[in-house]
Amino acid sequence: MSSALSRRNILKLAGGSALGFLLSPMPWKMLDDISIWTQNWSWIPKLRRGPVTHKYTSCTLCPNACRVNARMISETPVSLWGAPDPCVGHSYLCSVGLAGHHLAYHPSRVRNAHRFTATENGISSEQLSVEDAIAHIAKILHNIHVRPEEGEFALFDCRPHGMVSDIQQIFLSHVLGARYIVPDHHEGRFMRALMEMTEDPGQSYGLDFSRTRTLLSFGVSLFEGWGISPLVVEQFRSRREEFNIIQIDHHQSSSSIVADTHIAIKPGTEMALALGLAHVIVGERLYDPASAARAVDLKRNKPFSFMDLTRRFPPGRVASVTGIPEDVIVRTAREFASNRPATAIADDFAPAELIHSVWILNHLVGATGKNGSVVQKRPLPQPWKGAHRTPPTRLRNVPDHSLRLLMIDASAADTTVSWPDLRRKMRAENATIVLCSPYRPKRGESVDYLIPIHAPYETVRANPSGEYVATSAFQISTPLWSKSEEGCETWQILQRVVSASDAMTKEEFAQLEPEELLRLQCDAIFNSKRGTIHHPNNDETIPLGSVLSSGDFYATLMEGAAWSDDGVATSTNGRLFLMGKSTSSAQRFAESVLAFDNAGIDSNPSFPLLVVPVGEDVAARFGHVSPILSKIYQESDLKPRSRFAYLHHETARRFKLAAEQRVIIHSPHGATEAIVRCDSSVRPDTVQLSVSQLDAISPTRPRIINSYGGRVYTDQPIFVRIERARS
Amino acid sequence: MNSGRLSFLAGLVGMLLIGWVFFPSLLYQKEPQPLQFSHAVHTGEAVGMTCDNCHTFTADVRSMAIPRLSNCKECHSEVLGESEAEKRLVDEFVAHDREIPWRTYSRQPDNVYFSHIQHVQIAEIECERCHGSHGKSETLTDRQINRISGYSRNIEGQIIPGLRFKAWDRMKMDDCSDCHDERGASNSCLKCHK
Repeated sequence: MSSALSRRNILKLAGGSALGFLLSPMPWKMLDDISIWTQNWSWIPKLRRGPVTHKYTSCTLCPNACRVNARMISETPVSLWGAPDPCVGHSYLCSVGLAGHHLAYHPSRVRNAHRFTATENGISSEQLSVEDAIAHIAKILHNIHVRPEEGEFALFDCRPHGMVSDIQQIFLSHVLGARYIVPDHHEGRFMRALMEMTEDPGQSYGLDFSRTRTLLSFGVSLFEGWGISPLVVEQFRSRREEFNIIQIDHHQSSSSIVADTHIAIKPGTEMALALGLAHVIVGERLYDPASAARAVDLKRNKPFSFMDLTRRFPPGRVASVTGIPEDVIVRTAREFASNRPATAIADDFAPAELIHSVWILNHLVGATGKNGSVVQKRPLPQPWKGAHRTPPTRLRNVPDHSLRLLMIDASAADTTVSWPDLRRKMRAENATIVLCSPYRPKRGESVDYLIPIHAPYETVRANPSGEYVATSAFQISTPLWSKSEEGCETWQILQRVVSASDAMTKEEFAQLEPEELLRLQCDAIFNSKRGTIHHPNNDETIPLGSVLSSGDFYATLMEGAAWSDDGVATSTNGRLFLMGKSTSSAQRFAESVLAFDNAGIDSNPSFPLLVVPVGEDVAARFGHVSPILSKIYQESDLKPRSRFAYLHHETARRFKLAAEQRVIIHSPHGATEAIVRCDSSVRPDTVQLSVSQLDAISPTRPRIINSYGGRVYTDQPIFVRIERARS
Repeated sequence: MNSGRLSFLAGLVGMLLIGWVFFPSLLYQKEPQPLQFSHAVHTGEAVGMTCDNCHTFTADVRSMAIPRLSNCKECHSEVLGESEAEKRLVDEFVAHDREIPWRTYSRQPDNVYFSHIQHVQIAEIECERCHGSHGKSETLTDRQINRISGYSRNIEGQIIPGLRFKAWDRMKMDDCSDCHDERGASNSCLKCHK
């Protein structure tokens, strides 16, 4: 017995126990259960339990104003998806919109005002109340008012669209010397370019794809972005067989994979292709006779006329410039001109001359002013029609170093501010930038004050339809949460600052609450007696005339309904101007075409690879998106990939590079490091780089950007060479 | 056999016994059902009911409802038969119009969205695929709740190491994704974790 209690036996007992322990389910099960237990600690937020309800609202993250069906549990939104839409049939939310309700919980969310000060150790931030921040800013504005030589006051509206922008413009008109600044490029630019080529005063245009048979897309993100996407997705879903999509893209994008035809083009030569297609259509007389009769400058044969310019782009030459076989160019032109209704589209941020060329194609095939293509629409009834407004100034037209105080309205998720450009407009000394945003500024966004505003779905917001839809529409983005006490809207901050500074010349709009503004907009629509109201609850549409009062109309919109205007009988008599309505626009277009005609985009033997900039990290870099979108990022190509240079396998072989190799990318303007990734979707002789890598190698900043679609345009082509990095 | 070997075996066997026999009974807290119920009687030939006669879809069509007293009262407004459970049903619940506080065996964790209507009506999956022979059971077993994780044993698996021999042995994520793979359904994260 004494031997059984020996130290050796105790050790053996322990050894046997340890082996038995490991061979039992106990440790493994405990590990599993404890890991679950740690997910359920009391301080970890839990999903509420309670009744499941649905609430209809609309998304304000981009100007598309998609209809949203929010699934609510205990009055808290837990998931969002698209809802029936009177304008597009059905809204399909993009990846950012699907997680729009997460934005209220974003880690960068701020609840208090902050003042930022540059110190030797970097930027220090000091928290202060909104009232104090407004008082400080009002003092600066007062000084500007008293001593105008100190510089100007301006508001930068990141998304100039709809009622709030109207209010801001009207309001600023009562502030002495105030500027209203808009971005150089923003959504709707493609549609607005048409106004320069038609003579229909007072009308605007929208896209009606309901009967379109051929859609010719010059690099537009049809399925992975916003803007035109909702219109295309619905037609693609409902009329797949008869909706023929030709996607012209320099790389194999998501849109080009889904399209019926993908025409791979050398980057930067899209305008040459458009004019080459026009050349074929005119040469073979495939154009629409009625449109040809309307186009006043189609047959002019003078130097720098339309005929003169298109003559410079015969298919053979276009083939050599674009890298597209000649027969493909001719076949595409014939298909586009014969399989009508046909519409050609370009990105809002594409070069102006490309947009112009694409509209020429539309005019030639009779798309402009035709149902099933490009239709006329009436503008949204305005509550402040005729009110005096401060005219918008594009950022690039603001004199450098002229601004003393700048307020930035960053309420839109698609906010794309070029901070270096913005900084250049500020005075060198004592300049103050005030950011009105729900989120903390990102690295590189040097602001002096941050004032919190509401995150999406936290307050009522007017939500007019986007530029592309065929009829004007209006809806209210109703809050998904009860109103939060922290934050307000930028225009309310503007009102408070101006009121406190004595800079205001008229007390108009000074006391209006968001709901009152919405009621004024609803009154204007109601009094027009036009259009219909669509209830998503029962998917029913009723005429506006059947609603008894403006109050009832407002209440209906607050329940999630949407108003849409009646269609307009499209006039087909208006004249069309292929070169542009004004002499200056015609001259600008001719000069751009001739410049391309003379110079082309030829590579330098020292820098043989053309850079294709992509915006994978645009959403993460400029806007605010839900941080738990990683899975969706991967599935939609939005994941930041800024460290990599993507090359076709052939290109990599040609330059003796291998995947995962560290390389240095040289351009005439600088160099940057990257890791090689081989990807057969990239066009040979190009290198695909993310927008953040362009800073070091581009002579100018990239022209941004279809916010979440990943498209980036540069003012001029960037050529580079790639060398292996020395280890 | 020498004493050293005996000590080793004693430790080994002792710990195996603890791990395989005593640990599960310690880990799971047993919660008896408030009333005994025979699924076999109700779904047998004599009565011939099917699962969805009592387990209808809830208002949000996500779950199959636990039957309310009103379902039972349709037949059991008075005592039928001589069983003790039947007598208790009528005396304690039907007579006082008091809902029976049934304990749910298969409640999914909060981070999972599982829709019964999609699986039962659209994918046409039989109830037995996940719930086994529960519909033919004579008695209701105790609900067993894991004292650490708080999950039901019907979700974690009856076999303590978490092995699965039959489709209904477990209802863990792997089991869902295996079935989705078999049927060609999407295995995207957002399909279930909405």
